[in-house]
Amino acid sequence: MKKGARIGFGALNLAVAALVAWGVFTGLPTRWWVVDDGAVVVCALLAASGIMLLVDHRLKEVVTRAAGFVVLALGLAVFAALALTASWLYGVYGPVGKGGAALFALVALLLFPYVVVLPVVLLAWVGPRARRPRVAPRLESS
Amino acid sequence: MSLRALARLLLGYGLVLLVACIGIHGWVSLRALPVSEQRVVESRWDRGTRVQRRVVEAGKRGAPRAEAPGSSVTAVEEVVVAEGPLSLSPLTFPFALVPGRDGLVVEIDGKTAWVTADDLLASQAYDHASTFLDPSLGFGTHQPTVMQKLSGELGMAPAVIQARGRARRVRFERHVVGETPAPRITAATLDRALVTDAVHEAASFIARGVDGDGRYRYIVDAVTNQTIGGYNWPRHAGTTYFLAQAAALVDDTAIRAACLRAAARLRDEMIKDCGEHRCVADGPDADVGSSALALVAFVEIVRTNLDGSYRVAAGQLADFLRSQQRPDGELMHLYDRTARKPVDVQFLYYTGEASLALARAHRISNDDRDRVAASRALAHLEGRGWSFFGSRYYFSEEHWTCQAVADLWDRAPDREALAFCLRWHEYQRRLQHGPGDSPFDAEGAFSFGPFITPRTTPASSRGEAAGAALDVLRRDPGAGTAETAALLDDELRRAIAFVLRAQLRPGPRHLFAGADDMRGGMPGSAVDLQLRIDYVQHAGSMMIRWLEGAR
Repeated sequence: MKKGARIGFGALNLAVAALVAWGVFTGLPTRWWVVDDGAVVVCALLAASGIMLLVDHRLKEVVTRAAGFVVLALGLAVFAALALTASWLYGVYGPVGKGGAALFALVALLLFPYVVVLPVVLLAWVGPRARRPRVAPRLESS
Repeated sequence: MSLRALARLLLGYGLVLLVACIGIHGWVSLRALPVSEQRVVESRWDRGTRVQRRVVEAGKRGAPRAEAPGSSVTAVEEVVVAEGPLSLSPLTFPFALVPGRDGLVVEIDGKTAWVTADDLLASQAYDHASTFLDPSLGFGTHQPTVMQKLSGELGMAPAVIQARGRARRVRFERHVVGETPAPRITAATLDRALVTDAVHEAASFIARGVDGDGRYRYIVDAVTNQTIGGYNWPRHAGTTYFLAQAAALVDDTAIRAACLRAAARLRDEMIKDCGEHRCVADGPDADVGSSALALVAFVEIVRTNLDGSYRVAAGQLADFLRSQQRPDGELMHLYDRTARKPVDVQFLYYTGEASLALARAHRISNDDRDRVAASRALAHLEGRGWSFFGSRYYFSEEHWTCQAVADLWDRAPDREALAFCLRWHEYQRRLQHGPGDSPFDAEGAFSFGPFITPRTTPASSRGEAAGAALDVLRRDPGAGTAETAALLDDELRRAIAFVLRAQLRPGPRHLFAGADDMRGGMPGSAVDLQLRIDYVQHAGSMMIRWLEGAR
């Protein structure tokens, strides 16, 4: 793991964690546990990964990989939910729905780099978990 | 390309962009002029027509000359307090002026022409370049209107002026000579006398516009005092409801008579056979909104003892509304009178209006079917009717819903519906302007962002709904927190203050052909001087809600 990339991704993860926290807990007008809890998970994982990358902790790869998987899974779910809801609103609610669909589509596009592209890049960068080296069976001496 | 080279390229790009942004900001910004450099455009207006103009150069300003008492001419000074560059290109011009505050000056071949903020208001050029989502949501200054005015002033073709004219953006401050501006109304300065007087003026404006057949002047162009075509029966009914409310508040024979003429028009000419039932109809398709708001109006007329005979028509309309309800609580919003069957389509507002109407009907009918139908419609609105991912962060128009919640609270309290209404208000408060949020006098208004001139009716309708929710929390303190009640109270008071500042009492009367006829009217916005009946209805009903709550 190169030092420059490690520090860059560490800082980026911390910045995105702060952005998600700010967006959800100050940007949204009301509280809803589904979104709030999801945001807490995303923030916690990205922040943990960011700190571990910056301090070069021995668990940095494990945590970053876990953060990448979980954020990607949640990000894909949110992106799909927003896209499907936009389609639903556009079809069902007339003029109000068209405004809502535009808003939801915009939010989906704004989220995409942070909760889909970033975790994909993180996972590609950190790579798969290293396999344990095979150890040849020891021959029992008779 | 190496990572280092890419980083350098991006850094350079960022620096160039930053310098460009600073340069553009500096170039287009207005430069505030010291008093010694301020010119004054003096205009004299007679019944909405400019009859004289002169420009007084800086430092040569004498004592302003007021017109003789009784004269129909009004002298107005527009002081140039700031200037900046301006392009007349149709691409950028519509977005270059702040509506209601900016005008322009153009110099060409030694001639100078001024188009002031008053000129642009009088010609209704502001917010008429394009529309967004709804035809009534205009934005941008209409460039062809401005070019036509310049052409008239300079005696040159618009194309010539656009090609060779040197234009400057100008910020004006207007003073009507001989008039002392009224103190600015704020949430802190509201009092019962002020608001009651505003309701009286609003109702009087509407009452003056009811003809002998009970029809309103639906939209009035305040500048020309012309009635603009088109009519809308739900709005006729809603306005009649407001007149009934106002008639109960102020002792005014003209308002009572106008209310009963408009109500009689609804009952005697617009209620028709709709299959087995009777409904308000203006053609082969009857809409639920007209019948619902007519029912709200009739109940108010009965409840306030204006005319008890409306009880019969109210019962008929309640029967019709119940017959339009689906098993899930939603209403079918049209009725095909030819095919004698409901049409299961939905439009904005109607289900909320029907829920409120049935809740109100129950108060005079004591027919439990009305209350149950109202509750079911309400449950649908806050439940299945608005259920999707993100439904807590995006809302429709729910001012009627909140009023239905409040009206039913003492007979069929629905805590889920109240929670829905309170969430809607949290969302709306995010859109309510604070001091300095925009270049307009918009404290208390509701609008998306600082660039759109805030409209009066969203403030009125949200204020009505805030008053309703507040009414619930005052009657039943256990239904919400004191903090929520305080937030709603603040939301409502700020909305009323904004609307009162917008009301034509008298407004820019020098721009109006018939200023006395416009008094009390409610414009669409500070720069949209078309007065539609429902603008007044929502404003007046909001103020009456506040007066009832402030007792």
